[in-house]
Amino acid sequence: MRPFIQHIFLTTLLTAVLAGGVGAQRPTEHQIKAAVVLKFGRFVEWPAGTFADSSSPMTIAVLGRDAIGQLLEEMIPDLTGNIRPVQVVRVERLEDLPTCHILFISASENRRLAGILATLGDRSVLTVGDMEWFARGGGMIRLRFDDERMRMRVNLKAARDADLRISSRLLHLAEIVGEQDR
Amino acid sequence: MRNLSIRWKLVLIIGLVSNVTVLLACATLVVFDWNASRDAMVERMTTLAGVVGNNSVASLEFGDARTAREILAELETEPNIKTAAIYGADRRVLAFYQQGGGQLAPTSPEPEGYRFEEEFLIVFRPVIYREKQVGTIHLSSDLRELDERLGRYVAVVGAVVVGASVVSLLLAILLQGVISRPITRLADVAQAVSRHQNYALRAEPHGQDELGKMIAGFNDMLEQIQSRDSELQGTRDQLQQRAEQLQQELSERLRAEEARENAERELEAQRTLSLRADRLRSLGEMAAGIAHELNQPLMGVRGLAEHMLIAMEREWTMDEEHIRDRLERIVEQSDRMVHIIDHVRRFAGEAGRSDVAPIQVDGIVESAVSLLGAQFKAHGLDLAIESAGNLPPVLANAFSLEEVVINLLSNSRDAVESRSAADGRQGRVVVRTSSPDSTQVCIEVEDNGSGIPESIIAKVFDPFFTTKDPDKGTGLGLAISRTIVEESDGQLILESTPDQGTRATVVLPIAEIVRV
Repeated sequence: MRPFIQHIFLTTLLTAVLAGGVGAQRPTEHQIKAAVVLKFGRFVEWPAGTFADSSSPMTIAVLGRDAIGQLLEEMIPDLTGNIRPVQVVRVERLEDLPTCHILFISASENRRLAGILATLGDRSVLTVGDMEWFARGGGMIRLRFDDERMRMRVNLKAARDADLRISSRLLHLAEIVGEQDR
Repeated sequence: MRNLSIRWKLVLIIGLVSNVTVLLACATLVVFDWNASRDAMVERMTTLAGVVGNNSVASLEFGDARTAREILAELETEPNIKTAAIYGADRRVLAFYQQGGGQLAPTSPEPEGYRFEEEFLIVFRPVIYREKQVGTIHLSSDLRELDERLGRYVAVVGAVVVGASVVSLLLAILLQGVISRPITRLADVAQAVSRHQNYALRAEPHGQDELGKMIAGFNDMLEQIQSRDSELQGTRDQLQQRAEQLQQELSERLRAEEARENAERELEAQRTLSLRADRLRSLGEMAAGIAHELNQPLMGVRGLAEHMLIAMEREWTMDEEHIRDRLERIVEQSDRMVHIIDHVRRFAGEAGRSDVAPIQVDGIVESAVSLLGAQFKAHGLDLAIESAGNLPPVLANAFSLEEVVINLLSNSRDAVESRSAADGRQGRVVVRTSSPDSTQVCIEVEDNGSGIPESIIAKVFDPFFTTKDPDKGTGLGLAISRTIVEESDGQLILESTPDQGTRATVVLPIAEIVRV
């Protein structure tokens, strides 16, 4: 049963995330991460007034060197069902960071993470990363590919401090940390 | 069914009606409830599919098949759900669920909706998240719940029907009396009335409903019959009484009739005797008259014969003429005697016979007067005949009529005799014959005798009534005379003034009139 389920899972994940756009081979860990990040926009609410209107674009920024930046850019044309348009910005340094809604912090920025998060402060930016201790270190959603499955760890306090509301549906799939501070 | 007692009919009808009603009501409820529970089941399954879909949104979006399976695994609390599946937006299966073996979920989703298929309710419901269909939920439930519910319902309905029929039958048996009892009683009374012909019976009154009215009407009818009966009985009694009365009256009348006949017979016998006596008396009287009548010519004959004998002794010469005269006178006197004797013989022989013939009353009167004339003369009484002359004949028996005239003359003679004995007045009797009109002839015998006192004039025609001495009169003279006159359709009228005289009138119809 299990191989069957796994097979289904993978196939489904592929098709769901890639919408049949990337060919027949198995999606890589990066591809899956990119698809997940693109989905976050639908499960997070930003404070009122963040977007001018419903057609205002949502900006996803990628800080540091990571394959995900390019993958995101490649996936944007294939997005369906997103009301808002999405744009992806890749920056090397924190200073170059524009106004964005979702910030993927690459593992290359591991040592500068505390500084980055401190710089962001209370800005309503959903921080996503895949490095260890990301969520416990103050990041909001940490992605981890484990056991052939994408796992999420959410630091609810960080999100709440940034005035972001993460959908309970997403939380249902995630492991929650930082709750004890409430 | 037709002969079933009305109470059982009522019980049956009530039982049938209530059972059918309960059955219909229950059947309606069962059908309604089955539909409602089907609808409810569809509703519930659809809702459940929605809940599962909502819970699966993130799993679908993030392709988290494990979580999707976990969500479906929670359906274990719903034992009816046999298969379930979550399909992604790409129509592929994200998660499967199966319980209790049997068939698997379809491998691809269907449009939104539900259907009952064989033993299952199959539901498909899309999962919409933020205006986008992110997948489809499939649920399939067996209908055991519905079936069980239906079974329970049918059992309850059966129990209700049985209970209701038992209760309704009991109630019907208890309550049918309200209607059937008065009817049964009425029927019993009607039967008793007709069997015993007893119209004094009454049905028990019963309120003001239709039955009550019927019973009151029945009682009224009985009352009318009863009163009519007693009327009839009364009339019958009266008739019976009347019949008995009539019977009694009839026998009384018969007895009276018999007595009367006996009396009449006796009277007849007496009368015959009396008639004979009267006849004898008349004969006696006539004999006296006859003797008297005969005496005169006899004395004449004797005188003439003696005279001739004396002349012969003395040798008187008598011329032939003289002798012839004497002999002629003797013959004349002898003829007279023969005539008298002949008359007496005829009277004796024919009186009482009822042959009638047209006769002249004058002849009768002269005959009677000639019979009694000598008597009157001997007693120094005047007797005269005054005839109108040329009278028409009357139809009568000559001797009976002569007897009447003799009777009347005798009465008058006695009356004038007693009168002249009292005051010395010359007694006078006139016999007058006349015809006052063209239909009648009258014979009047008028005297100036003592008359008849008013107190007895009504009785003088009664048989055996007489004022004379027993050896002189029988009291039958006038009675017989009247009978004789009336036999000839005539009348005998008596007019009298005391101390002045009496007039007896015999009125007879003339013969021609009688014949016509």
